[in-house]
Amino acid sequence: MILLVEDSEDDVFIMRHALKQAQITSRVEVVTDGQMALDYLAGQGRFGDRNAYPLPNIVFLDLKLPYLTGFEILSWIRTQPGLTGMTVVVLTSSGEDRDKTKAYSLGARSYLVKPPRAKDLTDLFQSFLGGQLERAPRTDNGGSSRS
Amino acid sequence: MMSPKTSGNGLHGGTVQNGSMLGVDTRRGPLRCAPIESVTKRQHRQPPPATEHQFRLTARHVCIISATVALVASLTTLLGWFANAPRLTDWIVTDIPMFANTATASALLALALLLDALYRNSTRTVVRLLAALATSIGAATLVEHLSGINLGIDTLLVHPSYGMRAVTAIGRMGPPASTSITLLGIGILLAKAKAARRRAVPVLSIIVLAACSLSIDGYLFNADPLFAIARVTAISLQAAVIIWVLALALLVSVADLEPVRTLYEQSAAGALARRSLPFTICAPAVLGWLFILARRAEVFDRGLGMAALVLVLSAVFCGVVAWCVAGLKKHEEISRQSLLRLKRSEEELQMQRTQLQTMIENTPECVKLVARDGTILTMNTAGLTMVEADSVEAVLGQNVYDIIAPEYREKFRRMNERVCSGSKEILEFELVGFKGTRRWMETHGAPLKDAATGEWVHLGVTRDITARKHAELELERANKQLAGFLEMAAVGLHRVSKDGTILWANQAELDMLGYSAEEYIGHPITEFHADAPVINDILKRLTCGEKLYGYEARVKCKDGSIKDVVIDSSVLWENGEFIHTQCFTRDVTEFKRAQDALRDNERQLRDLIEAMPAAVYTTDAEGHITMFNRAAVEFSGRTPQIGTDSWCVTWKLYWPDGTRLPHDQCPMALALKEGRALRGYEAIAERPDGTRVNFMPFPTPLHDKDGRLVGAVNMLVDITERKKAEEASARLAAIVKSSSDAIISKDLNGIIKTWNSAAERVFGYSAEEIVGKSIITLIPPERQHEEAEILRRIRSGQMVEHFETVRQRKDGGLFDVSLTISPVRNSRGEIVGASKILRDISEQKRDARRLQQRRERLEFLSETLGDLLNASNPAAIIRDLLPKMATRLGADTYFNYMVDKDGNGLKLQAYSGIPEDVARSIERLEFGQAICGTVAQTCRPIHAEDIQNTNYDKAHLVRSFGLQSYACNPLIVGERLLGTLSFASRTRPRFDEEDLQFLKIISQYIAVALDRLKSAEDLENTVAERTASLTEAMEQMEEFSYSVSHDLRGPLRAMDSYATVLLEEYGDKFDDIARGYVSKIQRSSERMNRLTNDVLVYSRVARSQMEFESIDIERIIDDVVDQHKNLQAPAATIRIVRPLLPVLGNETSLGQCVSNILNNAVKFVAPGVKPQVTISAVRTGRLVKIRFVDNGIGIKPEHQQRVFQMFERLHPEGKYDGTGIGLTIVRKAIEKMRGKVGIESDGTNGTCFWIELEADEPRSLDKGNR
Repeated sequence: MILLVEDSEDDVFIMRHALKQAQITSRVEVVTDGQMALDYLAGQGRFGDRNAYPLPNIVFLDLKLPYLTGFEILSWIRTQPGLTGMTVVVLTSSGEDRDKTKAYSLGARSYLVKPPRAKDLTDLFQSFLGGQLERAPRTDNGGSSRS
Repeated sequence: MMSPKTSGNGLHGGTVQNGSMLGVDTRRGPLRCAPIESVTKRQHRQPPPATEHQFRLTARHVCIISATVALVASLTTLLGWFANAPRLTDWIVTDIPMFANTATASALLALALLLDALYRNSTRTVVRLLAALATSIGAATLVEHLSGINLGIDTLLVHPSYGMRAVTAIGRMGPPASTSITLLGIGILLAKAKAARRRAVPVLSIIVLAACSLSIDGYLFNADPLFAIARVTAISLQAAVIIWVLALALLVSVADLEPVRTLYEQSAAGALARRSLPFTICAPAVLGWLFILARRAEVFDRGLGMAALVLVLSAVFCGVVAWCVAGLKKHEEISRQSLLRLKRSEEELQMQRTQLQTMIENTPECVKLVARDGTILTMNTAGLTMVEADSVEAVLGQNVYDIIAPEYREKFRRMNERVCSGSKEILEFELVGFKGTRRWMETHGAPLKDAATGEWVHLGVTRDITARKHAELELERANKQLAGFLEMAAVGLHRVSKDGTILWANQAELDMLGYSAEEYIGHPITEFHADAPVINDILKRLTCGEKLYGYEARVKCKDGSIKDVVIDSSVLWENGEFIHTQCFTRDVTEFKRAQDALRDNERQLRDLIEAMPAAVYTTDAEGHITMFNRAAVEFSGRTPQIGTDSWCVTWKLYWPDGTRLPHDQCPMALALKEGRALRGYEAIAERPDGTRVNFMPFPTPLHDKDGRLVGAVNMLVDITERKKAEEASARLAAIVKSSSDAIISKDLNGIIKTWNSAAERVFGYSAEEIVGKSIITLIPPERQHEEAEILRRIRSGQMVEHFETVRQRKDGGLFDVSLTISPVRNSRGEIVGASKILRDISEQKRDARRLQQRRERLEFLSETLGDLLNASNPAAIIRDLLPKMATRLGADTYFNYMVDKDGNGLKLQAYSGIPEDVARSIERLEFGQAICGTVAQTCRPIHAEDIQNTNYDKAHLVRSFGLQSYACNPLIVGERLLGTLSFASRTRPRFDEEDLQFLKIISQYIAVALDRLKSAEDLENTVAERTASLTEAMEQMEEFSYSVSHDLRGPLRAMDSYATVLLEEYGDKFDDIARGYVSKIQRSSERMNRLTNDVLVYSRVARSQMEFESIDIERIIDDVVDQHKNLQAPAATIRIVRPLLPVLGNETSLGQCVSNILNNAVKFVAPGVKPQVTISAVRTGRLVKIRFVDNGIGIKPEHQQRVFQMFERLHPEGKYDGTGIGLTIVRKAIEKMRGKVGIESDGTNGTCFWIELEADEPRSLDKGNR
């Protein structure tokens, strides 16, 4: 399943549209701020039920978020032993090199500039998950193996 | 000898063996040759005479015609049978027809002969078949006749209804015909067989001819028994004629056999046969027939007829005989002549033989014949001599092997056998004569056929090659010697093949290099040379035919060392072919080393000369300057010109008296001319700048080892100083005289020699009184031991300086003196006495302490000042300084107060000499409080003396500390008070004037330093504040851009996406107008996005802090073109006129500029035009202008400045796409790189955008400023 961390409703719409176009039918869970993203990934607060809120195979992360920035979330994910293999893709409106460099240095697996295009998403899913998303979501912490 | 030959001749070719022309009678003594001839054979060798050839042709024609006639006749007969035309089968209607079988057999025979005559070999099988068939018909019929059995073959073809007159069975061929046909058939078959059987053919033919003639004769003379007896002679006329013709054809078809052959022979027999035969055959028949005819006509009766017949016959035969005789006579004549010719040629041959004989006899070579078994058959005289035989008999019959040296015997035997088998051989061998002499021989053996036995014998021509062989052996020995010599030569020697492989090297070379033969020979020579180009050059030169002498090279030894060698080499050419090089290699390593050492020596010498402080130069024998040192340049004030200057390096020369001294008369010139060293001259040199130098030259001529003058060396010694000294001494005397110091001189025994007026004044003795007396007189008794020490030091050449002691005046009073005593030398440098300068220092001594103190303080001040001015933290220096000052002033206590921040009072900054709690109690002072407060208030120093004993009210506080003296100074810079500095002492009652002065100065220093410290702090604070605010502004700006890039574009993105979704999902529900509106929304948002992007780029460029570096503009352009599809072919052509020059700039920004300019350049083109941009660079001074020339629509001059302004667009939106920021970014970026941008265009024919930047070049100073 996909976790989309995005505060802009419009961008959520655009993302959903792009996923639809890319014919990616996986479940999409949206959280709208940094704290929620953290809670979701840690399985705390209202996201305590892992069955209702399973760990995502892929996280699309905006950089500018309320409460916690995308970079902070990336750094936090790095400190979580249970999340080390998770595929995090930064999805942001900034095309600046410094953001890109920083995102990659903090462990982002890919970096997309908004708006997301169907083709990019298809490629991304192919390269990182190999179509894994169509299968039942995994509950363990293992993401896809690095290729 | 002739080799056997085969040659075809005759109609049916045979082979004829040709024998040798020269037969040798081997049984006779010394070799004799005799011609062996066979006349017949010889004739066969000649080409057949013309008549013979013609005859052969005729014979062939006769054969063909005969066969054809017979064939036609036979066939017509057959036709007659089949067509039932009796006339054709029975020509003269005798009822004896030619039956079908006869006709068939005749036709077969005729066809066989015709085919054979026409086609000969190719039809051999067919001919045989036909003949066999005919034979079988004939033979079968014959069998029928003989046995009486009817085989049924007679009517096989035709059943005749007539012809019964003379037959044994109906249709059966008569006995003569069947016999003849059988014989003819056999004859044709035999003609195709071997030579021996062929001889039967003419016999058979003639039998048949005779038989047929008989029958024809019968018909002619109507003699029935000859053709009409059924069982014996029955034969039709036509059959007889046809078979006769066939027999004739067969006879002539074997014309090469007798008797026909005789017919064409050029011999008497031939002639006779040719002439007589026709008449012999024809005449009786014709005459007989005529006779019969005449009888029948009853012209005459039998007796007359017979008489006439005999007469005619006789006449005819006489005529024939006469004709034959004539022919024979003619032939005889021809034979006689040919005999004569034969005789003549025999004579010639005999002569030739004799000549040959003579030649063989006289030839110096041994000519002999040897049989296969080695028996000597003949030998000529030379041969006899060679084998040391007295006579021919001595060798004949001897075995040749006996006179061959044993070691060659087997070789010779084999050779002999080969020759006797027909081959030619050459052999070298040693011969042992009958008298035992050994000689070298070379024999050429040729096979020769023995005339008698027909066997091959060995004709040997043997030459004595002893001399040659000896020469060869000698040569070989010499070669060996040479090889040995070369091998043993002390010089390295090797040979190299054309491809550079070492073929051979002598021991010396191997020893020289340390290799073994295996390691060296067979290897490429290049392996052993240290410098590949050298050996390649050597090989190239040698290959070109050059000879090398003294070619220097370096070779590698086995131990890894390199040897210098000199190579002499050349190539051995034979017939223009490169055989090998021969190369002498001399080790010159030691020589080289010596040379290098020599060179080093020379260089050292040069360095030595160069280093000499005196001017030194050398000249050649003609006086031309060849070398000079730096001192010479300094001395002469000019750089001498090698090659033009002569005699002296100086500019102008004068004698000491000032008269001009021409260069060619200078001492150097004289020394060269006279060939001896000159000394003792003095001269003056004038430099180009006019200064003069007194000098002494030391010219010394140089000679080579043979004593020849090769040049001279000269040293010019500057004696200006000495001159001056001489002048000075006069002045010195005056000075001594008038000196205020006592100056005394004495000898080594201490006896006073001179005494100046100051001495008189100081000591009270007059010169007259004291000169000649001992110096002891002046020394008080308790110090008289000093004199001994002084004299000792003077004697050893040492000086005694500033020796302070006490001396006694004439009145007995003592006073402090300072002595400076120097040894006095005579002109030879020997010490002969001492001069003594004596100064009364009683006063001086008192001042000395004060001076010392002052000096120390000054030093301290200057040090302190330096420290204070240079220090980055003067406060720390001051803290260190105060204790040191206290020590110098003899103070035990100090205080340093500073005006506090609000300026209301003083704050104790540093102190010493009071306990800490006390110090805390006086940490703050009000202005006017105590001494320091007062000083601060009045800005004037206060010095309190003897505090404990006075009651100066302000000193109350310091008195309580037990202080005796107290000095306080304000720290003032300009009008501004910084604080106070006080020093105090518990022991000293007061500070003296100098202390106070010192204190004052140091206070000023410290004030200035503290002030500087404060200013620096202030400045730093200001800068930090400004930096902080700038950084803040920058951060805000960054934040703004970041926000713009993120947030400003969010709504745009949403707008665009919603519009897209709208079109995708509801597009079909819209009409065209609505869809148009939606796409307008999309385009607008897209445009807004681009504008935002460009503004972002602009702001980034505008605020970026550029680091300058060297930029390879070509690479930047290549990168930009690579990244943009619209800049690449086929969309556009970007041409770079390389090389573009490197510039100084910022890579990222410059890349942005190039991208914008190129995109701009390809964008504005007229519709349908393919954009082309040419990029070139021009350098002007330190600037590089890069020009981008396009083929676009151009920009009118009045608009050219506008294009660089933000949002300026020259074309309505929609015509050309763009935001109007691109070039603004370019201008901003280039300006930030301290460059310029510009446009050149006439408004129609394209545009040239240019940017101008600083060229990248090494500039150490400027670079640091960037």
